[in-house]
Amino acid sequence: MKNIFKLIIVLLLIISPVLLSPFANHQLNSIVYADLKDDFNDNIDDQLSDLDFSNIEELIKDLTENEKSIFGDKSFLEKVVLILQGDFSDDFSSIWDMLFALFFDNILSLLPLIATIIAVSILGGMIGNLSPSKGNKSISEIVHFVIYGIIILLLSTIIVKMVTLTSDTLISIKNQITVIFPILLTLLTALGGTVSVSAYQPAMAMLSGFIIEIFTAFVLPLFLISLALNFVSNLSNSVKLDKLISFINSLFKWVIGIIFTIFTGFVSIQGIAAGAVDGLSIKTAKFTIKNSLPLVGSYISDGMFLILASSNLIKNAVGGAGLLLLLATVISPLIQIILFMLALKLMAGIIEPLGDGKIASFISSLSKSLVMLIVMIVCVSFMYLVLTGLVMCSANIL
Amino acid sequence: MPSISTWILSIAGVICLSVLIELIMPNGQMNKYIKNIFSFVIVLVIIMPIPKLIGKQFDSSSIFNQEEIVLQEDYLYSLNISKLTAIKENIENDIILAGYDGVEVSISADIFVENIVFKTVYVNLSDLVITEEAEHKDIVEIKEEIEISVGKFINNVEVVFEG
Repeated sequence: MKNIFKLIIVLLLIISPVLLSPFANHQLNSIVYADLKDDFNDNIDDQLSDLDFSNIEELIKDLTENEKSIFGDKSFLEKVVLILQGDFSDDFSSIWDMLFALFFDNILSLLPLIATIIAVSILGGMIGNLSPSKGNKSISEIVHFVIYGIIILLLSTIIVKMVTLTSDTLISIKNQITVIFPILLTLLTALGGTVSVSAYQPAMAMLSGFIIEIFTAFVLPLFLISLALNFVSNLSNSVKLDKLISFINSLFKWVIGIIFTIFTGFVSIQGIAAGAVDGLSIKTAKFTIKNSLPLVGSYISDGMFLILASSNLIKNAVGGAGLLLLLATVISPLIQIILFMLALKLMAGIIEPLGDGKIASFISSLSKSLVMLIVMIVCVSFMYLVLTGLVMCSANIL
Repeated sequence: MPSISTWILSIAGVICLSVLIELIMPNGQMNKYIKNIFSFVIVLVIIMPIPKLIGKQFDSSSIFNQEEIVLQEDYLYSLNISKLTAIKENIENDIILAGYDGVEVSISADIFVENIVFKTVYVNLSDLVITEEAEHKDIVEIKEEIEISVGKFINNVEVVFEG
């Protein structure tokens, strides 16, 4: 009995350090964690103060009211700090409020136009249908001519506004790309992701230069061309340019489709491969360092890891803030164009049974052409999003 | 492009003209001839720019002028300085953990490039104090251990011992 007792006590004494070690480590870990967090925050603050955000701040000063309510009324640097602390959006309810206000404002401003156009075309249709001499087609044709001219006059102000809105949005996206990408690539270089940088630099230059140039100089005029052809084609019953209009539409779809597919596919594959290579090389270096140091002191003395980790977090935070800025810039024009397109379809639906068939077909093909503008903005934003997302996912050491 | 707008305007103009004339035209025998002629003219106007496109030399250099992206060098240089300090501390700590106190490490490196390039590591052994864990080692073994420690953090660098 006594021997077994002694054996048990000796065994307990031997095992006790192992049993108690989690508690010991916990004390040590909490001290280590607090120190680590302080070091981390200091590191991040130092690096943020070295980075030059002045170009972006200039861009942000020109944000409109609507855009500010999505992005927040802060400077870019403050937004990056917020994201670093894990706070992605200050106020969801204010964003929804702004969106609803935008919706209703636009609908209210479109209503008078809709009402005018419907009234005019119904009037014209009735005059044409109920004219006393049924055999004489020329009165209805002349009436149709005049009504047509009035409608195109009414619509042209809004169409011009939509076109300038699209081109302004594309140019502001281009400015954002030219300003934010150097910072992202700098951070990527600091992390040691040289392969990724050499992959992303030409892609970014191509996006902000060539692609947006083509969109504003070639594709946007295509919309205007299809508008003019629509107008002319529906002028009389004998001359129809429908096939030419569908040629322009197909040209548009193919040009955008090819550019988009090539760019996104190429950049994604190159970026993923390059990012993996860089991530692996950085992680290998980290692994070597960690293995060489004994267990307890491995995080305290790893100053290099802290520096790289803070660069990494800053890179991801800057990418996130840039995407938020993109969202703020793009959402308002998109809503306006979409509402106008839906309003046109509504008008066409109302005019068709009551008025002239040609006016209804003009308005409905106009609304189909408006999709071009929407597709342009969405396409460019998506390419920018893909590129930024790839940069955020490359060369991550954590 | 001005040529495209003139093209579209000419198509629109011809079609408007044809519509107007159809409106005004009395129903006579010349009616269908005039309609046919106008459709010919419209087709001609639509096709007109195509021969010009074929003859033109396509200049692709104006499209592909890419602007160089300038990285922020101040940030990279100050980051390189921090990295240098951090690696120096790592090496010194590692040497201390291996049991050699009082070793001074200084690194000469090229800071003003994008990624820091290490040139030589100077290790000053004049104040070397061997702690208890690493007794019974002669100077050659100590130097080898220090070289291994440096090698864990920096690859392919020359280690120069002083003192």
